[in-house]
Amino acid sequence: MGRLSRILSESYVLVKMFPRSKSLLFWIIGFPLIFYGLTVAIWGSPTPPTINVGVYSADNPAACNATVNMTKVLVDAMKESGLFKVHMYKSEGEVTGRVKHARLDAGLIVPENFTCAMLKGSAPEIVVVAVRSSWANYSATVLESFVSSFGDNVRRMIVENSTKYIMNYTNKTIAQQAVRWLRFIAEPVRVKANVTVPPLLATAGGVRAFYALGMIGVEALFIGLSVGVSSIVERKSEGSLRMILASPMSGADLLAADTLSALLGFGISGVTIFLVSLAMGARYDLSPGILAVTVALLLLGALSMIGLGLLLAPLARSSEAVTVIVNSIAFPAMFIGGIMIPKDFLPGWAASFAEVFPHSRLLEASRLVLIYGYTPAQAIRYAVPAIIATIVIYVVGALVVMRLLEKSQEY
Amino acid sequence: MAVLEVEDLWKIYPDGTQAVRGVSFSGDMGVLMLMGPNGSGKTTTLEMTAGALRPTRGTVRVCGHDMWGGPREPPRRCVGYSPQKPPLRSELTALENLIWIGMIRGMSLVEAKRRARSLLEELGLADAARKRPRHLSGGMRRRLAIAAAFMGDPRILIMDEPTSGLDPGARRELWHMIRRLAEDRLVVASTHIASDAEEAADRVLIFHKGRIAAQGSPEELIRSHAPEASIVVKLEEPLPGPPSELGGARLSRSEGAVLRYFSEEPDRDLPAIVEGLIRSGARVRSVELTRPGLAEVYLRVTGAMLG
Repeated sequence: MGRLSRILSESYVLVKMFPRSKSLLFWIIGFPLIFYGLTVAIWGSPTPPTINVGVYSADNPAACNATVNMTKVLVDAMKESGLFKVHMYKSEGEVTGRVKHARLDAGLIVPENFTCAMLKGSAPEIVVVAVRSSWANYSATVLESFVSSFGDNVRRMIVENSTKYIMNYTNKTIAQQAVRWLRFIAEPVRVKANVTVPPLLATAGGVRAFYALGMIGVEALFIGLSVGVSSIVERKSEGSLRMILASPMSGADLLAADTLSALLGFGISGVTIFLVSLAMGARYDLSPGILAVTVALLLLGALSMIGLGLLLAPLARSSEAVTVIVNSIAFPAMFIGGIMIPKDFLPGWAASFAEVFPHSRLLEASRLVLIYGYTPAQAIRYAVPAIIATIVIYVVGALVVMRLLEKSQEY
Repeated sequence: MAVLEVEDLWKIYPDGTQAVRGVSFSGDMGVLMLMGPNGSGKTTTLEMTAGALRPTRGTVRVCGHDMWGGPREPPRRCVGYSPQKPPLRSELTALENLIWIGMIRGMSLVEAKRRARSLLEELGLADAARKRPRHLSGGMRRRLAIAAAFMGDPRILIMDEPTSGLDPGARRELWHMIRRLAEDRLVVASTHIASDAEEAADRVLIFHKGRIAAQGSPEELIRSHAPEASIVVKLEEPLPGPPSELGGARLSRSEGAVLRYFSEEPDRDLPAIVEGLIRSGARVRSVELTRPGLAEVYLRVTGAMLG
């Protein structure tokens, strides 16, 4: 009983302090909810982003007495697709200028003979304007594909119209062969998109669940690191270290007490985020087995951060140093560790980091089981290296802090 | 075997500073007071005795357990320690602080709550149970710190300057309380206020430069180190060649019209001094008798060693 009480002592402090400490309330409840709320508000729906396109058209259908304006047909199709927000401009310079200054994602310059050339069967040249950046390249590629598809459709329409005349040809066999060939030329390969996406991630509920787990991961980063790094230095500065050293509480008891209280704080934060995310429409697989595995993986993730904090505890000589150490690790990890940003969106080096960073891997494993529909066994198999790394980091961190406690008894 | 036995205790820091040099003492009951100037080794000795700071060499035995050579828990169960800066958590109330410390000492939540309530009652803090430390007066905070050290019902209570920062009235009240606590246990405390030690201590250890320069009961120390009272006589005008001995008193200093005599029996010698000076033709303006106290012992022991 004595040992259990000692281990529970810090959790008692947390439970009593929690409703009163504004700082605890903010970091455990306020900060994650604000962050999560904003993330969901900005990126919470899986709709593709709209591309701002500026169009300058020099097209003159009257030159060939055309009854149809192909530029108008193209622009209407762009608007209907929902992919583009189209702005018309009166000069080519205006479009290129706006693209250069990033006021437009891409520009489209339609030549004077556009309609006439299309109707007469000679290919007009249409220009897509974009600057060199990843987003602009994406915009230009989407625009090029769209215009190209538009061209394909026009080609198919012309072929279908032509077939009516060819079929009137007396030799039916040759006529049918000619139609087949024309259709083949119009559409040599039929592409059927059959993209498989995890059922939950394709929905707003899935995206919200992804970010909720991300926010829980962020809390594990900050709470775990803070508790680990500050385990000795905070007690020194508040004056309780000497009292603890003079008490029956051993170093192992102290570590267990800190770890338990950190996991409790993390648990409070995690449950709050989870419940709020449910209220905001996040969708999870809530079967008990999957929830149990997810909770275990998330707790292990927090434990890995506590262990890392313990490892770094000797570097913290003051409370200010604790803040610097925690922030300089937690903030970058939040972005490059696949925690708030999906691993697939990260550059190669960051994705590799997310693959080996134990906390990231454990969080990813929890997403596998809770969002992507993997079985618990598959998720655990994926997490095994991170589980082993967590145990090693925590044990080494604990030994480092025990040594630090020993040293605290020397001075 | 005494409940506390400290033998040949040394603390040498890595930079070579010898904070404590071969200190030995023991105690069983009552108040054992460590006195000495700042940096004389009192706090270091208390921390090593309490189990918070490892000595370079020497032994500390409490309740029959070796503090630094055996299992960690048994000796520390026997000692309650109140550091100079009370380790109270500002977000917890007085009652919760005591419960937290009780749990650190291994008490169950229920047990700690019961003990904390009874201590708050006993130390006159019942009304402060729900207040946070910053809302308590200095004296109440000190009493709370003592209650904290008392949570595990230790046989030995070690307190580093428990009255530091308090006004004389609050100090007296606190020492009175500490004496009460020491009726059935050993209290080891430190102070640099001689009058406090004289009032509260059963035994005094005077520290100087990491060693015990003198020890004994306040009366023994006064008898052995400052047995003479000081009699200061102020004359109307300087007396050339004042008598060097009058009755049993001897002249210690003569500065113009001020003469200072030392006497082991001032009640007997004072009239003889006045009479003798008048006989020598002096006109006495005033006479001031100062009986010896621990302050004189303290100054004499530490001052003599400084010289």
